[in-house]
Amino acid sequence: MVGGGQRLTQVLICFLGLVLALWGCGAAPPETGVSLVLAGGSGPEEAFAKDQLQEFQRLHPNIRVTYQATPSSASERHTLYVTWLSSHSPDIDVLNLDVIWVPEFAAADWLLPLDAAAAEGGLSLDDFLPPGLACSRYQGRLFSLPWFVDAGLLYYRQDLYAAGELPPPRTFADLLKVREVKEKFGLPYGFLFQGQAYEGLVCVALEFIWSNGGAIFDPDGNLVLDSSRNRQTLETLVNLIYQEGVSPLAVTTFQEEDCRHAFEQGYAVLMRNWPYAYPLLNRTESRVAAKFGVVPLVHGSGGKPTSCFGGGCLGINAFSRYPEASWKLVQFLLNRENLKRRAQILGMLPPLTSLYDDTDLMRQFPYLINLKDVFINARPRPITPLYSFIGEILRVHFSRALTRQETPQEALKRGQSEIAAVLARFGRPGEVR
Amino acid sequence: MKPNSLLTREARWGYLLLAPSLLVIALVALYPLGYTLWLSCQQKIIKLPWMVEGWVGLANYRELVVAARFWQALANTVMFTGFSVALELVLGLVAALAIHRARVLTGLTRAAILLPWAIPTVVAAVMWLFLVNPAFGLIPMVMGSLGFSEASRVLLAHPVTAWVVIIATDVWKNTPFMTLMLLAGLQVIPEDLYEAAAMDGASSWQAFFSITLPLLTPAILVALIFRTSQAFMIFGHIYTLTGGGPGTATETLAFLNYKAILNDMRFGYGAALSVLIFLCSLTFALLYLYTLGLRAEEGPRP
Repeated sequence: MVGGGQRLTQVLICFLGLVLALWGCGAAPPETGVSLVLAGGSGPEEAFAKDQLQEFQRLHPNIRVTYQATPSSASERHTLYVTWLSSHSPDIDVLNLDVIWVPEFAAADWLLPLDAAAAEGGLSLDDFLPPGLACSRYQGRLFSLPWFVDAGLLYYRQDLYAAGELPPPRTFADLLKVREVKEKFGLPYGFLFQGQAYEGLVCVALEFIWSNGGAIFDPDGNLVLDSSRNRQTLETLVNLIYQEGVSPLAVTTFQEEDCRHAFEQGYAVLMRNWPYAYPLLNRTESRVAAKFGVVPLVHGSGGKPTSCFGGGCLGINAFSRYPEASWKLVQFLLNRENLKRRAQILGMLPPLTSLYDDTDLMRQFPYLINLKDVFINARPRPITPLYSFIGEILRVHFSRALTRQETPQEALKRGQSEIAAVLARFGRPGEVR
Repeated sequence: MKPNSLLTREARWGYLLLAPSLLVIALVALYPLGYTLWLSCQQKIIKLPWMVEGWVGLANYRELVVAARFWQALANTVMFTGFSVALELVLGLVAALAIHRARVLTGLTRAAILLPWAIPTVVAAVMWLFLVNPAFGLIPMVMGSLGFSEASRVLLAHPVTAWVVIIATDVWKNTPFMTLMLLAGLQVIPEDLYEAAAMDGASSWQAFFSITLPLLTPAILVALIFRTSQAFMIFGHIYTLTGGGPGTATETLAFLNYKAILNDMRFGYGAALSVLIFLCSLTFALLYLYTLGLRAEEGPRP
């Protein structure tokens, strides 16, 4: 027994020694200056960011920057960020944020206000796309800056429209003519959009609502989801499936890639999608390469074409040890040349208005020449720290309306009362609504 | 007196030997359970720091039991569990009996039947997503040639057919597990019982109901407890196939739990939901043990 006890002690000591030895493995080498961490996506984004970071370190020899790759899935990255920031971790300095997270993180005091730094110069805020800046602000203060932008676009089969001597669709009424085009050319699908019960559907439904002059919140911040105009709009959207034969029921199960695959196979006349689909649809294996065009979204009689604004921002962790060096990095990543190069290499569209007149970029993305206004006039989803709760409510009721589990009237009425309850219960005290 | 004291000494020694495993169980099972119970009585929403954290008693439970979405998810979960486990039991039993009788290629059959079970849930669900894709999936294509309308071929757009797809995916994936458990049970039934029954003139149906089924009950019980508690926590199929939709028609308790914790970051509310899921699973397990366990004791013994 005694021998066993001794052996046990020896094993324990060895084990503790091993733990201590491994403990040191992850620790940073002794610091010789400033060391920053930039958190962003993985894959090609990561490879390109690492190239840019090398150049930044060449310009700032005393600042070392490491790239922290995070999950590409937005919800997983969000969870990771909330875990870091809610524990006030200083380990990450600069974060690549989805536009809808900025108000949430800003309201929680997790992001450094950037007004003073931006005012000192170096960056011209005027050139940023207005919806991008709107998303970066919360209660009048600047908490991030746009890095790349996204907006809903309408892809249409140029060849079919030309053969039918029709102009590309511009209004809700034009959408109804898609059925004729579809039947004339024997395509299975007319107009495709993202209709599954997820955030993509929220974007599509909001685009229809905005493009018909409706809103969720009016300019004074009052909740106006349940309006007769919005009811009409939602009815129009639902009828595309069940009455007009314009959209197949299949759209209620489709996300972006389902739409893109079907359009790429030549199954559909029209598709609402984000800009990412453009280069993919033009690859040689695509059946619609060089046969399609891109135009602004259709609009109703009460409004003008309004795309949902998406994309990514750069923000600085409020608990960063090196706020000044972090700002230098943000400035570097957001300078015109770097944004242009990022667009050229990654195809992610730049947040600067002037780059939409840049000859090199327009040669690479010729479809953007006529779409500058789409990005300028794109609209952010409601800018509130409670957006994820609101988006969840909208997701459920829009999906129920689209699958006829609720009438548009019921969907808007219930959505309105549920959102009102969330605002009353979880709203930040003192927040101006 | 003497044998009694011997027994106590032996019992004490037994408890001592059991102590480490009891300690491990307490650490890995009871501590998280206790923590979840404690958390379920807290308000803790980490992404809304202005919502003051602290003890709220049973408020989270109160919010749950008045939420229509919770009851819908509970009904969905019970419905799914009932259908999928029942189908898996029947199909698994048939497959196990067939394999048990097979005399050739036994190794190969067993490996082949296990294949769906070895595929990760999400991969299996994505395969089924392709099968039911309305644009190029195999199932809608076959349905089309049988004369089904275009709308009815979009299986995931209707609550009922969406559930059929989810249950089919689960049955396809988990029947092998049931088969394996029942096969193991079949192999411990002594062959001479059947010989005796045959000599007494019993038909094979009589042999099945009087010998096979009663002696298989313990294996069935274990398989049912495993499958029911797993089915009750179904998440991967829902997340991949429907995202809870259309609307909230295919939401289950585990899916709501994911929404509460990872979307809303409401840890207290999510914990309350976890506790309710745990209580439901526990009820099932006890129910099985009580009903089937009693019958197993009454049944004949080899």
